[in-house]
Formats: sequence, structure tokens, C-alpha cells
Amino acid sequence: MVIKETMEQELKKLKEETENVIAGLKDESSLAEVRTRVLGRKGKLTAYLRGLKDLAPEERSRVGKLANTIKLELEKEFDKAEVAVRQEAEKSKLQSEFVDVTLPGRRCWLGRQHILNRVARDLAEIFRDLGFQLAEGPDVELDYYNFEALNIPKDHPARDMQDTFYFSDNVVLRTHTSPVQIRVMEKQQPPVRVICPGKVYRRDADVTHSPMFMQVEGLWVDEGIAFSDLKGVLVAFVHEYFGEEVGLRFRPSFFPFTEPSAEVDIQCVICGGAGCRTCSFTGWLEILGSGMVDPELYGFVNYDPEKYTGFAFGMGIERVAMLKYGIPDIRSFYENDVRFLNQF
Amino acid sequence: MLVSFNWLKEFVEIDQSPEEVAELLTMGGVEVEGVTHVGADLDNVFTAKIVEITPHPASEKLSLARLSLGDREETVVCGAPNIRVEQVVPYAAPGAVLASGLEMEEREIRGVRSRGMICSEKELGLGEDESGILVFDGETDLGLLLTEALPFIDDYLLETSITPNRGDCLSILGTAREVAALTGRPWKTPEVAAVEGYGDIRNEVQIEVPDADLCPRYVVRMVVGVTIGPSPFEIRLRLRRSGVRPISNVVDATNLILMECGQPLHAFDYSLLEEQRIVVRRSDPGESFTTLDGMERKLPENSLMIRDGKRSIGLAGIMGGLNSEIHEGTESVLIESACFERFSLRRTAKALGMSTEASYRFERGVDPEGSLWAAHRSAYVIQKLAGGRVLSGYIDVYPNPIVRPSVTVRTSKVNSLLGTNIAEKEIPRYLERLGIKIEDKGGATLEATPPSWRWDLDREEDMIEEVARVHGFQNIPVSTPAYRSDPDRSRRDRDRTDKVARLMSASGFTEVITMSFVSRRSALEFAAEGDHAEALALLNPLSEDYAVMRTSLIPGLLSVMKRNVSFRSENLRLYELGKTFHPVAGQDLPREDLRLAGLATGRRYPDSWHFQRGEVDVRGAIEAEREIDFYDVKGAMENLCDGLGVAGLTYVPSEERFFHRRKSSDLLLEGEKIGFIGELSPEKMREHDLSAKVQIFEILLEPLLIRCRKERLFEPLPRYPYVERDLSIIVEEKVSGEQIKQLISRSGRDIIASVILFDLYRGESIPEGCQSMAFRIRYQSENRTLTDEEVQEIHSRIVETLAREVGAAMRE
Repeated sequence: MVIKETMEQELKKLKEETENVIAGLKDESSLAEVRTRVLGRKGKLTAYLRGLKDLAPEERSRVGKLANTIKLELEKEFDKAEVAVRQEAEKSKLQSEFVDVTLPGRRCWLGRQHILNRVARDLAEIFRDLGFQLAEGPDVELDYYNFEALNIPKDHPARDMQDTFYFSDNVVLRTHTSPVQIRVMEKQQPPVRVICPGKVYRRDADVTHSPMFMQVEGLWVDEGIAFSDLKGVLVAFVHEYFGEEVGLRFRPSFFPFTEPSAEVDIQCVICGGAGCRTCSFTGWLEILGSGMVDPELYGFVNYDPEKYTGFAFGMGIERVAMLKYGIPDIRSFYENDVRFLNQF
Repeated sequence: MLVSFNWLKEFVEIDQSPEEVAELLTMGGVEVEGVTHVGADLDNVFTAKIVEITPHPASEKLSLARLSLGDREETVVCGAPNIRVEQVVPYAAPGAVLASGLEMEEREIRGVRSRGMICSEKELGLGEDESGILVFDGETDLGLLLTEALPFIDDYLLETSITPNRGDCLSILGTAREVAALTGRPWKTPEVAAVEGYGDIRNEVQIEVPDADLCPRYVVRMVVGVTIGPSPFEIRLRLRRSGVRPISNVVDATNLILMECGQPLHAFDYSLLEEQRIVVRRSDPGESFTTLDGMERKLPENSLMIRDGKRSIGLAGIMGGLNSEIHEGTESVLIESACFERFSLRRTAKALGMSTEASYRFERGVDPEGSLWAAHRSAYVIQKLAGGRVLSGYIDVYPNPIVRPSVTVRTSKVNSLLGTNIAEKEIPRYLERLGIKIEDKGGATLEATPPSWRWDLDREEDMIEEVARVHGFQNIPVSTPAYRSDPDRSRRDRDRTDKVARLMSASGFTEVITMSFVSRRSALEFAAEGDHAEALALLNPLSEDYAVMRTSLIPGLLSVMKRNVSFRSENLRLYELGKTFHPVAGQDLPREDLRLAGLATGRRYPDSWHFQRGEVDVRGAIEAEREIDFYDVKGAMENLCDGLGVAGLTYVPSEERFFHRRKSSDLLLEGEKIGFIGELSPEKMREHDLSAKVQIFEILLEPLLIRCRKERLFEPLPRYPYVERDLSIIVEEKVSGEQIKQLISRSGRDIIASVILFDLYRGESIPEGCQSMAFRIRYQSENRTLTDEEVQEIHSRIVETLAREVGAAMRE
């Protein structure tokens, strides 16, 4: 009897004590420790449960029932306390930790493609969409390809248009990308639709000239190609690159390798045509030279001028880049100041 | 060319404003680069006559001029030496603003009040002469604003840019003809009304043209009894505004006509001819000649000379001779109006490095039919400006008159080439406006004969361009050409180089573009050992810095680096993708190699708040060396190969003399050297005055690009877990990481998935000449889960192998 009462009391006491202890604990590890001490394999309550087998069957069932109830209740208490403690701990941890979201992130050096090569690629992409394929040629070129076959004979004043670097009488640094036209036409019969970007060289260096610069050249030869097609292709290009709202005009001009020849102006992209310093207050900017391929050239590449007609055009990539990005000085491109290069 | 609007109006009726004419010309093919209003800003400058000159009471150099302005008088102080009573002069009243920006006001000059001043042409911005006051014609009305009394002062200058095919537009007349064609108004030529009737030129001079191939036409006229002096103000102003320096009335007359109709003229002093003949023939071999600018010139072969029978007196079509020049005492003038063969003349001018107003026009073609008219006109103008009498008659040597062949023009061709629908009857109308003679052949075909001044019209296309110009390019429709699309295989190379660019960007390298030419000194500085490199030299370089074609991209990168460092951009990762040029024996053109080169210097990471010098870096490791080193650049190279899908690039120590001998490597692909990578040697750094270490690399791109993997095949992912074991050893320094990696892999049979060196240490606690290396070995099988025993067995074998082969000692 004494034992029985004692056991039941002891159990209740253990429960009470444990509950008090739980209430006083604030961290997970202490809770875990206490839980082990009470409910673990060697825990106090477990010891009582083990001792049940010594009791009379009747008592055993009663006390056993009580002990089990207490065990379940305590487990619940522990669980609850643990959740509370964990939440509390997380709360205070969250409060103590922070990042200053305004500080810069960790970075690696970021490399960039040169703006001119990017512009060259962008231009080539547009013409690719318009049906052109890519072609290239050498920088060091024969006089024949750079001049003769482009209808610029020796002693012709048209040679004055381009101050040339020479290696010998018949080897030059190409002064334009036009020799690629001849090289392409020599290799294939029409239809020809090529776009040729590349470096070109003229013996000229000042505020507005670099002795080396970049051009992109286009050529389209097929049956029935007309001047109106040239207009169509260049209008499409200008609208794609500079914007639908940019107007353009074609003026008669002269190039030895085209006839008729046209200079193409676009409405000033800086002032919108109202007149500013960039466009010398004319509202127009010269960006392209173009024209119908001079039949003289067909003689050099064995095309039938009665069957085929075509157009060609060329533009300076620096000029386009300067207008597109508002760059005032052509020399910036070749000074390669990283403070400049990294802007684009 | 500068075209005076006032002058232009003498040749063609114009209803439009100067700006409208400029627009019209530009859209018609004669580009007007600018329109300048000149002479309009002369408020408060009046015409006045000097009625009395009295000495200045306080100065010997100054005088007092009493001026009559018609209904009133003013007195001003004047210091000009050429001041005379009865002169009509410009008087700048208070309020006038001079060309220098100085505003006139009433002020006291050495005790005498002066209301304004008498001006020189320079002070008014009407010329360069500042030697004395400007004097007008005595008949000029007095008391009027200068621009009212002399309306020619107020003018617009159209600056035209003439393409080489349009030599005919290099004159006022030529410009007028264009305006006329574009507006449909007629043009006219100016007056020719010389008073002849004294003697006969044929008695005074004989003309012989033995080299007629170079001189199709030679016309002379003569004026005797001229008085050389300055031209009137109006003529001087006109010349000056055309960009020609006034010299004397006779010379000015020839220049005036040159500007007027584009025919270059030359005036000889007749009395200086040694024989009374003109002989036009090629120069003698080795001949020298002194042109009127005083330069003695060694004549190139086949230069065409004007001779007087004994000696040369002119370099045909380029410049006259000093020995027959018009001078102050000249009385008789022989005027040459000729037509010279353009290409030969151009060769001579080019060879002599000369370009004159005359040669420029001859090179571009002068109107042979205009030569005679210009001769007459010049006699008339000289007589008008310098007095004298014009000898009767003229001599015109024109043995084979130039006949311009006609061109067949098909209406169908016009419209098909332009993409237009121009009516058949419009085409002849357009062409006739340009002076082209039309004969209708029926069947929509025309025979078109160009006018004598248009050298550029001899094919159907040329005529079609003329139709388009007059029709207006703006009136040609916009169409889209039809084409059959094909797969575009042309981009493959470009796409690959674009990929190289993207990969370099990803490794933090910024692209630069440097000049293809470099200085002779730096050209071969970075040529690879044993390359027998040679640089292609320019005949006419811009400067010593750009003398030869580059054979390496490194010199360009180095100079870009130096420039940036001088602007305190010290952390640099740069690359260039470009061509180098290599002469090939027996070939005209050099080989052009596509190369990729890079340069890195400065710090490995951008500065940041999160780690301080010597502290933990972003990868969580203690960072001893924060300067970029070999491995940063090698890493970029590995990224590149990985990204391109190129395997098998190997690194062997380099012998290149510009490298640090123990921090550099050659790049080998299939046993062939295709580049190098490493740190610049201390000598090179000293030579270039560099303080921070510089890592560079250069590689031929072609071998990489042709091995660029196009298709990648899927590899199955491992299905069984891996086990990792670390292995820490001490070996001699000469044993390379690669060597150990290979030993490990070889002894691991087929269950080693990867070997990574994760720590390398030399220094304290490690014996001298040795290094500590730690490898992480990953064991994995394709067909089973490995057991601990299996791994342990292999791992032990690796330890044994390393101890045996390279004397590696295990570290605990």
C-alpha cells in the first residue's frame, strides 16, 4: 500500500518537477538533456516503467497506466518547449544577424568586347537578316583589287579620294573594303549577296581621321536588281539600327565603282533634324556611300552586264558608332582607355 | 570650291534663296558643305570722300582727315600712309564693329577728338591688306552704308565639294549650268567685247605644238601697252572670296577667268621671250626648271613644257616659269588658253608633289571648246583692268578637234536600272537640260551626245545617272529585292571568333583594338624563338611609330597598358583578336595570321569592403599573393579551350627570351608550338619601365578554331556514389603537379574519376628544395558502389607508387 501510494505520488511528483524544470529551460540542448534524464533509456520515468513488473497485476495496470499517461504528457511538454525554445532562439538569431543590402556585392572583373567590334557585329547581323552572307579579304591587298578592278586606274584623280599606304608599286594597305567585292565576284557567279566588315587604312591622321579604321561593305548582284532595291535595303537597315522615325535621303555622288552613285544621309540622330553642331546645322548626317555596281567591274570578273545588275554600299563603322553612342572623338576608339571601353 | 552667290547670279537667273540653291545643288549631286553670309555685318560703315587733310598737331605720323558724307562732314584721325584728298574710303562711324570685334566710339587721339576711323580692308574683314586704307572707285556714291553703295560686298558663299568626275563644276559657270539644269532656267556666258584693231598677232608670235598628243589645243591672244597695278576692290574681293590671292591686274584677270569658267590661263611677259615663238613639247632628259614660286624643280620624264624656242618658260598646265613672269614693268602680255592631256599632266604634278588651281582642273578635264572663248574673254578683261590694246586675231592650234561620240540610251534600261517608271518623253527632256544633244532613234531608243565640258558621260549608265539626277533621287521608289534564301554557312568562322571574344570577356578580359602597324623597333620584339620573323615595311609610313606591319599583338597591348597605367588604371586584363602580317618569299601578299593575345597586370580581384589586404579572400582561403600571376592567365586559357571544346593544349616551360625563365610556358597543340604564356622578364620590365608584374600570352587562333568541337555527344552521368580520399605528400620541387597527377591516375586503374591538387606549399616546416602537395582523389566506378576495402587497396598502391617513382613522403 505504502509502496503503491508512494509510486503514484512519486510519479506525480516527478511529473511536477519535470514540468517546472522544462518551464525554466531556454535552450534546446538543456531540454534534450533533461528529456534524456527523464524519458531516456536510463531515465527516471523509464526506471519506474521498468519497476512495474514487480508490482501486483492490479496495481501494475493502474500505476502503469498512470506512468504511461505521464510519459506521453511529458513528451508533449518537451516537444512544445522545444518548439518554443527553437522559435525563441531563431527569433533572437534573426535579430542579431543582418546584411547591409546597400553594400556592393562580390564581383569578378567583367570583360567587354570592344565597342567597334560590337557595332560591326550588330551591323552584320542586320544585313544577315536582310539576306546577306559574310565575306572577308586581306588587309594587305594588291593594287589590282584595291584600285584597278574597281575602275580606279593609275593616274586617275579618283585616287586622290584616298591617301594610300604602299608596300610596293602593286601592294597596298586596302583603303576600303571594296576589294572584297571583286574577290567574291571572281569566285562565284550571281546571285551574290555579301556583307564584308574589316579594317581599312588611309594615310591621314587628325582630329577626325584615324590612319586605321573600320568599314562594312555590302554587295548584291542578281538579275533585275534596281536602284530602288538599293534604297529599300538601306532604308530597312537605317530603320532597324537607328529607329523607324529616322528619315534618310539619297544624293547623287561619285564613286568610281558605282554608277549611278549615291551618298546617303540620315536625319541627325542627335537633334532629330532640327540642326546642331554634330550635323553642322544641316539636320543631316552622311553615313553611307552607295550605288549601282559600275558595269566596268563586271568586265573584270566575267559577269554579263546585260544580264546582271547590282548595288553596293559601304560605311564607316566608327562613324556609325559615334552617332549611335554619342562619342565625339574618333581617336577614342584606338586609344583603348579602359575607362572608355568599360562604358559600353 | 567657294562659289559667290552674286557672281553665280550673273550666269543664271535665280529665284531661290542661297540656302535653297545650296539644297538644290546638294540633292542634285553638287554637294554644298556650307553657306556663309559675308559682308553683311558692316553697320555704321559709310562711304566718304576725303576733302581735306591737315597735320595732326601732336604727331608727325598722324593726320586729320575731313570727310564728306554727301550731306554732312566728319573729321577723323588717320595714320595710313596712302591717304590722299579726293579718295573715296570706308568710314567706320561710332557704333561700327570691326572684324577684330572692336567697337568704334568717339575718342580722343593725342588731344584731338576723332569720331570713328577710315578703315583698311583687313579691318573690315574684306581682305588681307592692312598696309593702308581701302580706296574705292571715285564714282561711288557718298554717305551711304557700304553695303548700299557697293552691293557686291553683301554676298553668300557656297562651299561646294566637287567629286573627281565633275571637273566641269569647278567654276562659277559650271555651277550655274547645274543650277540651270536643276531649275530648268537658261544659263548665259559673260560679255566678251575686246576692242581689237592694232597689228596682227600672227606677226608677233609663232606657235608650234610638236607634242600634240599631250596638248590637243593651244590658243594665244596678246595685249600690248598694259599698265600693271592692283585690280579694283571689287575684283580683289571677288578673288579673295574665291580663295585666290590678288596679285596684279593682269594676273588677277587670268585667275578671275579661271574661277569664272574653269579654263586655266597663263600670262607671259612677251618681252621676256628669247625668241618670238612658243613651242609645246616634252622636257629634255634631266632638265630642271624654276617655277614662278622660285623653286627649282627637277622635271620627271615626259613633263610637258612650254618653251620660247630656246628655253622652257612654263610647266604646262601646272605653273609658269620665273623667267617669263608678269612683273611691275610688263607691257606686253601673251595669254595662253590651252587644253592639256589630263593623265600625263597628273603624273607630272604628282611626281613633283604639286597641286595648283590650274593642275587640279586640268587633271579633272577642261572643256576644249571653252579654250577659245576664255582666250577672248581674258583679252577683254585684261584690257578692262590694265588698259592697253588687244592685238587683232588669235592663234588656235587645234589640229584634231575632239569629237564626243554619242551614246545609245534605252528607255527600258533607264527604268529597269533605276526601278522607276519614267515616261519615255521625259528622258530626252531631262538630258537636254544638261546640254546633252538628243537624237530620237525610235523604238524607245535615243542617241545622246554629251556637251564638250562633260568628260564623264560616255556610257549608257552615265546617261542614266543624269536622268536620275534631274528626275531627283528622292523620286525614285523604294522596293525590296526578291531572293531565294539559302542556309548561311558564311558565319562559321565569325561565330567562332565571337565565341572566343565571349569566353575572354567571361574571364574578365576587355578587348582592345590597336593599330596594325607598329614601330620598327617593337615589330620583332615578341617574335617567337626560331620564327625567322621579318616585318613588312611601309614605303610611306605616317611616322616612325607606324613603320611596319605587326608580327605580334603584344607590342600593341603593352602600349595600351602603359597608356592606361599612366592614367592610374592599374588593374588590367586586356586582349586583342587580330591579324598579324608575315612576308612570304616569292609572294606579293603576306600571310595574315589571326591571333589572340592577352595581357594582365595588377590585382586579381576588384577592391572590395569584404576583405582587407592579407585577409581571407572570396574563395575563403588565406591569400598571400593578390597580384595576378601565371595561373590567372593560364586559367583564362583553360576556360577558352574548354569553351571551344578543344582538348590537348599542353604547357611546357618556355625558352622565349622576353619571359621570366621559370614563370613561362610554350603552348603546344599536337606537338606544334602555337603560342606562349608567361610573365615578362625583369629585363623587359626594366626596358619598358614597368613596375608591376605583367603576364602575357599570345596564341595562333586558326589551330584552335579548326579543332573547335562542333557537335558534343552526351556522356551518361555516374550512377554510383563516389568516395573521396585526400593525399598529402612532400616531394622535391622539380617534381611537377602534372607528373604526380598522371602517376595517380595510372595506378588507379579505372576507378579514379578525378585528381585535384588542392594545396601547394613551400617554405617553413618543409625541407629546403621540397614542396608539400595535397591531392583530393575521387574514386568512382561506372558499374558498382565501391567498398572501403577496394578504395583503400588502390589508395595504398598510389602511396607506394609515389614513394617509389618520385620519392614522395606522406604527410600526416
